[in-house]
This record gives sequence, structure tokens and C-alpha cells, in this order.
Amino acid sequence: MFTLKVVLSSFLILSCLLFSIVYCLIDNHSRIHSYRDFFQNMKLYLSGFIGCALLLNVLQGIFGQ
Amino acid sequence: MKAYLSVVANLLFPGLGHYYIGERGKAVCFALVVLLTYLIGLSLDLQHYYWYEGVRGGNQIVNLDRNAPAQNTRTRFVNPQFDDGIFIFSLPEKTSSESIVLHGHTHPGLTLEAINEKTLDKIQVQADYKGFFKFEPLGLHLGDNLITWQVADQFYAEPAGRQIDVPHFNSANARYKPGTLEKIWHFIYKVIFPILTTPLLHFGGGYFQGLVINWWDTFPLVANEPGIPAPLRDVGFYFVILTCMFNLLILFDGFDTSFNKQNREGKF
Repeated sequence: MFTLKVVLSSFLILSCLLFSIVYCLIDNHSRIHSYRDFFQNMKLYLSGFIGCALLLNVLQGIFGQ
Repeated sequence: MKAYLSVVANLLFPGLGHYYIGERGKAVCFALVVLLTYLIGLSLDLQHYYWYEGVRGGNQIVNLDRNAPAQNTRTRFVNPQFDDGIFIFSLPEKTSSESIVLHGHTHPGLTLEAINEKTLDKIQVQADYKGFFKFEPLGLHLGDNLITWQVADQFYAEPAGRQIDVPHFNSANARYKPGTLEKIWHFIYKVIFPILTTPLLHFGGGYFQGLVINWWDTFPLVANEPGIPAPLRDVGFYFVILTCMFNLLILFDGFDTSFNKQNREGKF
């Protein structure tokens, strides 16, 4: 079995992944003609979301209890 | 018109509106993502369908008759969406058993009591994190026994050697009273969630929860945890919120895509 931290982090990454899939699909401004385009956009979104999550974590570490 | 119909279709089931306007790939992806998000949310947040109010008790006359069959103690399927009061699995009107066992399902963690009004015996039990409870056997006398079960106001704490107040959601003297913020949440749970998670998923979710309610017993993700830990239950709640957000995005996207298509064709 896993530790609670690992489980929580994996759910966080999963939610980022799901968010990036939906955001890529509703994005009408980027070029999506092939799967390659789709995954390239998704990569961008995914790194953005994970970056935001990490930033939030750092901010909470600084300002949170 | 097509744009509005796609919104309505997406409200019925995520992705249906996109399927209707010819975006089939998108439709399948949306349906899969929303279903996955919602089902993960519901399997972690086992308290999703329980409200603060309406946990009512009940009573029944049980006749101790030597010729009647013994009590059946089989567990039954539970749908948290519709069985959210105190749901007793089996309580016969006539039994040959000297004592009966009340077991069933209620709000997770709620403290309950069962009383035999004939003998004035009272026993208490606390439901587990899934909402299941099982009382110790309650003795019966020959003839009619009025059995009452309800939410407990006072809980006998053995280590303290006295009765203590327990919080529950109904009685006026309980410690727990919902404030304005909780009432707003209550409203969101009851009115906004059923719309934003789409009615079909919302009302079908209870059946799904009933199917997977024991999953932690067979596959606990975190070592040495007998029940789902509180932070993970919160994650479940956030996943349900995520479903609502995805559904909103999908509604708008269905409208936009259809509107843009028709605009290109000069129909608007």
C-alpha cells in the first residue's frame, strides 16, 4: 500500500490531467488537426496546472498554518 | 435553435449535445472524463448523499412466538441516495429468537439507540464510516414487544462512566446546529449539484455508491487505515465539484461550437 501523501499527490496529478484534457477539447483558438496537436496542447496545459498546484503548495507552506 | 438544443442535451448527459451537433470524438471524450471524475468523487466521498436533516427513527411491534421462524440477519443492498434515514435490513413481526439484532444503514458516524419499550432495555451503537451499524442483541419477552430506534441524544461513554451529549442533526438540544454557511452548502448540495452534475448522474450515483461502498475493505490505498481517511474524503468532494465545473464548460462549449458552425454557414 501507499502513504497518504503519495495517494493525495496522485489524485492531484489525475485532476490536472483531466482538466487539461477538457481544456484542450474546448480550446477553439489553438490548432487541433491531429492527435499530435492535441497532445502538444495538452502537454502545455498539464505543465501549467501542475505548476499552479506546486505554486499553491509553496504559498500555503509560506503563508498557511 | 441547434445551439440551445445542444445545451439541453448536454444537461441530460455530458457529451450528448456534442454528439447531436456532430462532434462525436469530443462527445466520447467528455462523457468518459466526466464519468470518471464523478465516479472517483463518489467512491471517495461516501457522505455525498446525506443531508443535515431528516434522519428519522421508527418503531415496530415484534412478537416473540415460539412457532415463528428465527430472525433473518442477511445484509441488504443500500442506495445512499434514497435510503438516507435509518434503514433497518430486517425486522420480523414474529420471531422465535429470544433476542433480535437490529442492523442496517444510516448516516456515516451517526450514533443510534434501540429501545425495547416493554422491558425498557436501551442499547446504543455508532455507525461506521460507510454508515453501517449493528446493535448488540436486544432481548425480547413473550408476546408483543414495541421496538423503537432513533438517533441518540446521549451516548453512554464507558471510559467516562456517564452519558455524554452527541451531536446529531435533528433535535433542538443537540450540540450541532447548522449556521448560515452550512445552510447555503445544504442548498448547493440539494439544488445546484443535481443540476450541475446532470440529473442522470446525480440520481444514478447513489446506486453506484451502493455497488462500491466496500471497496476500501478489499483495496485500501493507504496502509494501516481501517476507513477512508478524512483528507481523501475531501478529495472526493473536490472531484464532485470538478464534475460540476466540467459540465459547465461542456455546456458552454456545445453552445459555442454549434453557434460558430451555424455562423459560418450564415444561419445566424
